Amino acid sequence: MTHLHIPDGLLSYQIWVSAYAAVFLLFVLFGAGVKKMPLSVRRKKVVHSGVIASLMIIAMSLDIAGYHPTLAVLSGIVLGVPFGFYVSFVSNLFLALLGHGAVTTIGLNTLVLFAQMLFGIFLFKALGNVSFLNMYKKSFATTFIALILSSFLVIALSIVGGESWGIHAEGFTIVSIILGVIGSLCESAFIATAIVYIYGIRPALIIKEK
Amino acid sequence: MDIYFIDHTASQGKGFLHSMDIRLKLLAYAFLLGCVVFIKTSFLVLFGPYLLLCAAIYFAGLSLKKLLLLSLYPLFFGLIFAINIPLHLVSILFLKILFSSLLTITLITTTPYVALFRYCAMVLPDVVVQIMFITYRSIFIFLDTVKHLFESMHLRGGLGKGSFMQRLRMFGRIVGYLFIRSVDMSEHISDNAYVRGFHI
Repeated sequence: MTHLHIPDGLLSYQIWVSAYAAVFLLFVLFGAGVKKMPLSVRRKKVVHSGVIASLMIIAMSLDIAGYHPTLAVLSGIVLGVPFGFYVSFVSNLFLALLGHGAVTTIGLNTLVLFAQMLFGIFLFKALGNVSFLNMYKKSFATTFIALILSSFLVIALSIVGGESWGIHAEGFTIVSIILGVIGSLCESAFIATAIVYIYGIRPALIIKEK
Repeated sequence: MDIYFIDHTASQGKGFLHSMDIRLKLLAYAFLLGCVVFIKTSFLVLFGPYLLLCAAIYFAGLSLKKLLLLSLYPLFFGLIFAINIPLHLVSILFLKILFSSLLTITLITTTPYVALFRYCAMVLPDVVVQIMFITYRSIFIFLDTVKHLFESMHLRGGLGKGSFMQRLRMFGRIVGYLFIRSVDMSEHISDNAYVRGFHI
């Protein structure tokens, strides 16, 4: 439940059109910053973003009892903000094209996934100075909090958007929270293991030097 | 993931949907998607075009059974909504899910990805389109890597053993390994692209 699985035609058009507008606004905003990057850095980042997006797509098409990992937090930590946003968009676009989502919700899902990445990046930085937590605990806490926050965002959007369909908000929230918490705990456990594994081999990917 | 099937069908298909002008195809796609989005009450109004789409798929020489099976996937998630909306709306919700999914799958199984991305480039920034091309190519490489990884783990008896937490940790290490592979792979692709004159 960490991103919207809403089919086309369920959400009111004002919501998904606004989301697309916000995505294009962010394209313009981040595009200006990316253009200022040195060419060699930009080329490497673009290629790496493409490769990571493919990993995310493979992970997001795995289906574990209605939940599938997004790898958004880990991708956000590795790629940083502007390219993390591009990767959120591309992975959602591909999933929609592969029939695993809706074309109208690409914009909303991009924003939800990007919010998840942002929560992850900032929480991971904030927890970086906490000395009594080891890397596993920091990564687990970061991923779990980011996933739960984005789940609430998904639930809120689904309820607001599904109002015209007379969606039972309470029932939907309960089902979503149960699925979201179980899935988030599992994803946090394996993402934390992945971060510890990467940190052991390539620490520079996880902790960026200033 | 049926990306191999989709890619093969899109590039090798010879039916009338494959040879149709892509602009016309995109217009038809946008029109039918608009119907799915905006028609909210009448089941029959949507069911007619859905049957026509099924007929078009059949006469275009595509595997209707396979495409219908692919379009069933989002139905699973639709169930979460279906149990929380009034009963009389469930049938139209399911039809909307199946219709939009089948429509998108028909588009990508009859249009090569290069042609589709070319039209995406008209509205998306260059950087995003370049990421899309690299993503598409990398999916196949990673699917092979994951397949070989699981095969070798299976042969060494590493799969299906241990508690749930141990399996989660194993899955985490696989993800970590794939992320490190992704860095090496992207460096390799980036250097090769530069040598071949690819400038981003």
